[in-house]
Amino acid sequence: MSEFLNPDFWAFVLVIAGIYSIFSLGLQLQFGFGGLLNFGQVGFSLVAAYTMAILVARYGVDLWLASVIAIGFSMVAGAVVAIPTLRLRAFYLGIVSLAMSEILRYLALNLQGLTGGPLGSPGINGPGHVAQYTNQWFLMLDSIRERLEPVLGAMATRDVATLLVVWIVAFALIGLLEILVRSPWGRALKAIREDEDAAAAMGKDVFMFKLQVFIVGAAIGGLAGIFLALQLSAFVANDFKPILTFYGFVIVILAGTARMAAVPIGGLVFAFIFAGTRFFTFAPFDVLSSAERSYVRLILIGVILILLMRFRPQGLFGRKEELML
Amino acid sequence: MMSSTPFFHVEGLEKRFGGFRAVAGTSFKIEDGSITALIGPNGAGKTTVFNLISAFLTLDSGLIEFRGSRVDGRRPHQVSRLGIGRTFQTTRVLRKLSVLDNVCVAAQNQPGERLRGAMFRPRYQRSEADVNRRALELLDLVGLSAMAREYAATLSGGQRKLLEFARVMMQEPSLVLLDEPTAGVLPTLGQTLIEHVKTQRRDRGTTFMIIEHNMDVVMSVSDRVIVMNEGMVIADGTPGEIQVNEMVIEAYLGTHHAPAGPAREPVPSGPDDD
Amino acid sequence: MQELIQLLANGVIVGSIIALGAIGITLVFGILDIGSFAHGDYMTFGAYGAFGAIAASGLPFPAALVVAALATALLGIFIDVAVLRWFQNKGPDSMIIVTLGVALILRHVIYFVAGSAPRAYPIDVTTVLDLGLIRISIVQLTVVVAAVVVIVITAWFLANTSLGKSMRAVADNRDLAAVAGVNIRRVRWSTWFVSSALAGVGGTLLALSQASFNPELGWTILLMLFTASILGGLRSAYGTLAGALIVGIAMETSTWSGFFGGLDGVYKPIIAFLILIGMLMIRPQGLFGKARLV
Repeated sequence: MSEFLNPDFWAFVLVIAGIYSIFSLGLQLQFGFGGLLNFGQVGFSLVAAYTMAILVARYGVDLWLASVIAIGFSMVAGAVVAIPTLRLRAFYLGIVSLAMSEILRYLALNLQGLTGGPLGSPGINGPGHVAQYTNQWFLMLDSIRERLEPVLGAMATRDVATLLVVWIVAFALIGLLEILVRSPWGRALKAIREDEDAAAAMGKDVFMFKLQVFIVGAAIGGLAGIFLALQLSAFVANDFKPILTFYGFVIVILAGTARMAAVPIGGLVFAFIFAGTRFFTFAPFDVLSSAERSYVRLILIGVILILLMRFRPQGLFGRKEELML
Repeated sequence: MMSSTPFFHVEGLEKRFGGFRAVAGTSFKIEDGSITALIGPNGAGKTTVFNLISAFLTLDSGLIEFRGSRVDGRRPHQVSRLGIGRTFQTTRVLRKLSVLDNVCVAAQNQPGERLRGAMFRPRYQRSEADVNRRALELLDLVGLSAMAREYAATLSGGQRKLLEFARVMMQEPSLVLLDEPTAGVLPTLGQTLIEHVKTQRRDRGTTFMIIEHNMDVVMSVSDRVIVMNEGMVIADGTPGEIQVNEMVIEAYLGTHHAPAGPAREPVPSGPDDD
Repeated sequence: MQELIQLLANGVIVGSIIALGAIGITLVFGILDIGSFAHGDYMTFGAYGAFGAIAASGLPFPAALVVAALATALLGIFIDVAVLRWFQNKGPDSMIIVTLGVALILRHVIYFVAGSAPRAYPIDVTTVLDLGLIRISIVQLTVVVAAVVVIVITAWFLANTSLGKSMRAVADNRDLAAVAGVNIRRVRWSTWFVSSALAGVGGTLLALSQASFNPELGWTILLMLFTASILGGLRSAYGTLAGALIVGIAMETSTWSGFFGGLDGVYKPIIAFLILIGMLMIRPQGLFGKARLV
């Protein structure tokens, strides 16, 4: 239980909440506003994480430039998924995006020469050397930490600096997305979400709007992937399993579909449920092994999602009138 | 100067659903600035013609031309951008948007509707203010301005028809296809709507084509009446000529004896009893 | 040449397992309009059901196969009644997300009960029959024979029984079928019964065909199920069977040395993915167009 009172632990939980919130903002745009079922968001995160890590660790590219290029790769992957499926029923996009994310993970595991294969990101430069992509990131965190020290004293850790960066980016992103969804572009999107034929009769290019939404959402998934990679310091392909996308959907549904600004609250609620269940180490839960507790946690998350969809489909903050589900 | 190309015409439209010829070689012309009624018994293919023109269905054969350019082969939003607006038989207002947004969203060439434009409000602020003003004017015209901020879901069936009319006019189309604008609407509201059609034609020179079952409305509003039966045009003339046309009378009387038949057309406008 | 024939034979075996899962997806989609992402995990459930039956009471394998089919069939009906029914009128998006939730729950319940350790049936998998042109193991033979028997029974059921005919009627036109007095609830239950039983058999045969299996068994094959189903047009059971064979054969023959020297075996799932994407771009309605056999 001592961990329960450890501020570092909670800083870590808040960082995770922030990264998941960013990840879910992409899904919120796609699903809540565009009606697009992207079950492969984690694939776009994986693409960006690997692209960034390879560019930095193998080619010595500047971290920021590498991140921009990496997000570009995520967008290309988004277009590959979207173009064949957007004209079809939502179901097809769900299948293809999920399959794509699994294929990418599978490729990352097997293309050892490119990705380090089963060694993960430390193996990017081949076995024998440990590849790193975090130097610039740590330098930045340390400079932030130094500036925080006069205010926070011993509390100013790298984790707190990470927390700050992640949440500043998350809120900046929400600001940008709020501007987008409140613009005439967002209004047209809502029209398409509700009735594609009516929107087309008004001259809206339904396919184009959906493609834009999907690619922007994929870019946001890529951004989250980069943060995840930086937060982990080293990662393997199996850090990008479809379960992450599923968490994203839980967060979006908790927040309420089409509620952009509520996503961080969904992210926080989720992170606390997720982290909180770690402390179920007292009786009667202590009969379970830690693996069993993790299964129970996943079962609970599945049950929560289904119950939410059944009894509160508008989420904690959604409006019933705008309910799209 | 008279132009040799007609304002709008269709030639030999054909559409089959399985073995059923919903539209079987339909041809007609529409004059600029006219109001044309398209009438006919249930299952005559009227709504199918509208769906073919607006590209919600693809032609089996035939051609559609609007102001000298081909309409067929385009996608619905492209047809709409040519200046052909339409309403739906069962109204398709956007229930989850406000009444005002329902009209605003129909504005054309709004710079804020492009992703890059949308990121910077100043770029579209002026045009958006203009869109709002025009939308409110239209809502005022159809008598819905008091409800501008309500969700469109709260509107009655008749009000939805009015809203849909305001919405299609917001597109500033040159040709408007109205699918049963007065069906299921209180007679007084229906009459109001028809007055709006006349006003818009007078003030903006908009051309209208109207599918309508109410003969009083047809006779009072239209310059010309096209009668369809079994997928074909069986008569085309002034309201006065049509009223006394024997084929028309027979077609209408005949429907009382005809079997129910495959009158349902799989059009994208939902339940349909054209 | 002999290598190719061997690979073709392997492809048929893989394809018939995929078919058992994919036909279920097709039936559920065509008849109930549900795109089920949990079907792979139904297969896993069947595999563990058979494993449990053998471990607990030493049943012979064919009997365990029947137990797996029945247990999975009941699971399918139970999940429909307990969960999916709530979402029937809430639009397809909700239903798809919910089936994904069901998949997650089911998979981790299996993890919880059976553990993550790899399992294997206590069956000799090493005996190989040499048929001259091809070599086929007893296990592979069992898989093919069982799959063919089950598919034939299913086809007979759909074609000749009144329940099967009702199911096809609903798949063709739900409203018309309801008007014509088809008992929709009975059709619903029997659809879940048949498609889940097929998944149970398929999962058990899949587990048998691998040296060992874990609770990820069905989830990892889900992509291939959907690919087969979509190749068949998502509404045709026979189309799905053909699609499954195509996917199975394409994946197996991709390692043939005559095909650009033979792809590495790890690329097999990517072959399935490429077929899926290519199909959606060229013929999203499936290989056999609008032909609706079920």
